[in-house]
Amino acid sequence: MSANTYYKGLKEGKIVAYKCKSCGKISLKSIVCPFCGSRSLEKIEADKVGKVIAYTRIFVAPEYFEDKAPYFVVLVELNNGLRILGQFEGESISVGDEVTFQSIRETPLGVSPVFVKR
Amino acid sequence: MKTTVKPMKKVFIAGIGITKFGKHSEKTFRDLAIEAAMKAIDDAGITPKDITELYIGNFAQGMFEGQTHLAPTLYSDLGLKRNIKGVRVENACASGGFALYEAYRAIKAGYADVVLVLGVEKMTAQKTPVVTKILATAGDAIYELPTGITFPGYFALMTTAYFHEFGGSREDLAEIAIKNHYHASRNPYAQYPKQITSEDYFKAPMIAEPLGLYDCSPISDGAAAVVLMSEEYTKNNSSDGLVEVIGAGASVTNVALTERFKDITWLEATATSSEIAFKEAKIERNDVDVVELHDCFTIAEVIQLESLGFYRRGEAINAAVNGETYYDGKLPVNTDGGLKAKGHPIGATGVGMAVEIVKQLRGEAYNQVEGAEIGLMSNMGGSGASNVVVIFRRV
Repeated sequence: MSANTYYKGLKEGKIVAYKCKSCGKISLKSIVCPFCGSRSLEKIEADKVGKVIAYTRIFVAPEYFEDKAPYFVVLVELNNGLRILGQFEGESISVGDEVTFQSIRETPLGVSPVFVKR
Repeated sequence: MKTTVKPMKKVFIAGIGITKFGKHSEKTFRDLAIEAAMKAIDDAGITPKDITELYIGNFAQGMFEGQTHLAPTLYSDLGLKRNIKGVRVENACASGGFALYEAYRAIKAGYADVVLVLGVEKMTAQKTPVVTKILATAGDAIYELPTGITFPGYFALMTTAYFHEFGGSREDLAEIAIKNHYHASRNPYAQYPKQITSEDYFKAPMIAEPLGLYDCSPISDGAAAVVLMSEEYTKNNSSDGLVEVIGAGASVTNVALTERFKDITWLEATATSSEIAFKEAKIERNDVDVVELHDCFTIAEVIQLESLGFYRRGEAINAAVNGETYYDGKLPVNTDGGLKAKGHPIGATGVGMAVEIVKQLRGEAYNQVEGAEIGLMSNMGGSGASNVVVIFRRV
């Protein structure tokens, strides 16, 4: 799996993703396209800007996040079509808001992108 | 040369058993499993020695209590005959439903005549942040969990997307919680057998905005069991209260909510499994008299109803508001209180749904649907990445 590539990219300020040469969709998966099963994938750098598809504000947090609650988690569709989950930093957020990948948050569970309003 | 295909066999539920769902501090998960299994075996009028296959539905006892290898573990406790087949089936919150599905196929294909399906989970020994972390492992641990997403969080994402797309409000979700608590208030086996008011709902703390405490199913301990039999076996053994399994479907899709093929307010595994089940059962949606579905969160009841094909998209949000899903409404849903109020001991949940449907079809339910002949259960895993639908008919 490509977790190390994804986390390493985020730490360098990039969203490393893969474009499927067969169906054209973009995902975080480096070996098999999760949408069509093709193994013909091209490594790309995804857009950092996108729109909020859905959001939530977590009040009851899992282990490693308890001291940060409440915090926002957003499902973002980046401009090239890649959907990812990330945290959001800001006062408020709505579906349709434009956000940009700004920083990261690292815990023992892994690395998350952090978005802010554009 | 033409091969001879043996006809598929008919499958019946001959026995049911369930423990009270809730906090069982003095009991181990094994105690709970034994209680449910023995009730089902006694109800079926057989002995443990008659069973030839054992399917355990369990999500994460290894993480909750440090015990894996559950089929041999529970085999040790049940007095079964020597050297039978046993396996634990895991698909997150749909573990119990998938265990039932695999058992159904074993009999249907002619591999077994008497099978025990046993769903169990003991969750309350761990503190809430640890339980929250364990539940979240049913999501994508590499790409999603580092964001601090939780299970309520996944369904909160679906809620904000749903409200944006179709409209709806927390007032509508409150009516679902109120309805399921009303059903539970008449079911002594429910974890929270009490009614709630709109005021209770709005006063309760937020869990994952916009979902509050009364939108969420609780952390629970419990077990449920069913005994399945082939038609031949039922003929040789007098069994009262038989219910036939007339169709079943199962489906999985990409685990990550970000990798669904359609938008996140459509449960594609639920839709697919229901299409398969209805086709196999050769019935229509409006033939169904009673439904048990996966309301792990209030919004899940809405999008399950739509993905199962009972309501058009954007319309099930009003089902409880209009009273349609009460036990005496036009489509009774979660007549035992649902996951919301009956409780949600993960591995037991899908099997518990089957128990309630069988009670309804026998005419033995606490919120009896008058004249119920056909019942459907839909048990979902994770944020909708797996789903089983099973359809039952009174004999």
